[in-house]
Amino acid sequence: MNLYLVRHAPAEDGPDDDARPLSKKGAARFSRQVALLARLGVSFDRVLHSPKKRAVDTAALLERLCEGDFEVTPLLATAPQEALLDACAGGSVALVGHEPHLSALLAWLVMGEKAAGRVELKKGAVAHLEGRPRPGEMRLRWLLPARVARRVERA
Amino acid sequence: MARPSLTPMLEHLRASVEAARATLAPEAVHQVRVASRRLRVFLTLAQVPVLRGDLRWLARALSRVRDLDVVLEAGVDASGPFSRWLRRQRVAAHREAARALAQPRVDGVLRALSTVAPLARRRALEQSQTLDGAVDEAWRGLRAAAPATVLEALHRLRRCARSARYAREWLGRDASAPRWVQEVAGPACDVIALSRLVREFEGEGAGRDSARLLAVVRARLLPHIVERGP
Repeated sequence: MNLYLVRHAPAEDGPDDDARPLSKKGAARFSRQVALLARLGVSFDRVLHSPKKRAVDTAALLERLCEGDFEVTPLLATAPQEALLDACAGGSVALVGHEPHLSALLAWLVMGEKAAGRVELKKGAVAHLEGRPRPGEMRLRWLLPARVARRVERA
Repeated sequence: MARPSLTPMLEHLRASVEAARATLAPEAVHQVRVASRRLRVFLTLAQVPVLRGDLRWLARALSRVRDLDVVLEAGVDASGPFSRWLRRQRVAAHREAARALAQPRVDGVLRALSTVAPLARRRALEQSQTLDGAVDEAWRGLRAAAPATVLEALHRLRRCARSARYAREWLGRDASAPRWVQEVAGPACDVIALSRLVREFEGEGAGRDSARLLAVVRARLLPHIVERGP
């Protein structure tokens, strides 16, 4: 399967961490990222996202790339666990979440160990993994930081 | 005028989910479905493309229990084999519903909904008018429907009317017309649910008495509904 790990775009500050929306700039930047993903032919059967507002907003911007369902799961707002891997069924699935959990998930799926920070996933970045969603059974195809989309747009 | 907020309905959903998790009582199940639908319409008005699918999933996860409750409460074939079969089905449907309510997705949607902003009235009004238009279209579909598809057309009309009604209620607009349509078309949904259950029952090799009863119900309800158009 194709699995896309998507870190939420830059968000506003605020006292309630769950309720912080994307900043205008963050939303605009991630819209460019979505346009680039569309040009690369990326599409999803399902999009799973964290319940935090900034992840909900980021997932909403992926609407044009999703041919199937969106699904909210608190499993994307905590350290990666087996239940999250079980929830990844599909041919092409996007997971929208947060650091350090996403880079820990990436390391777990690619290297078999939950080591956060081994791969840098900046805000709005997308990592494409391929294989079976079990520990150590996926390979990293590419990682797309948000700044690439900015440069592509300027070029 | 204050912007409409989903907070009171979200609290109602939260309380109903807790009650349904504890007992799966018919009223709690019904209230989870009602609140889920009202909140879905809120998200439509807010033009939020996500979370609607989660609410649809939640309402559907409880639909079989609800259908069985409605048919059992109606006392169809109260002491016969169909009724005994319905009660057995309800036990199985309870297990499925309890499993769905225990999923983290339920807590996820409750948590995510708590961060949705109040409605921007002008944009929401445009969406509400679109939902009104869908009711008119469904009426036209009903009038053009062949006899074999009247039930489905009524079902669609009721769904459209329900969404239009909830949208109007969120915005404080007069909702009496779509509410009337929803109530008048309501029995069609009960007949559809009953039809499905009867087909299932007969598919398992039981008798034909329930099908005869269903034919009587349909004959009594449907002409009456179609004659009472807007």
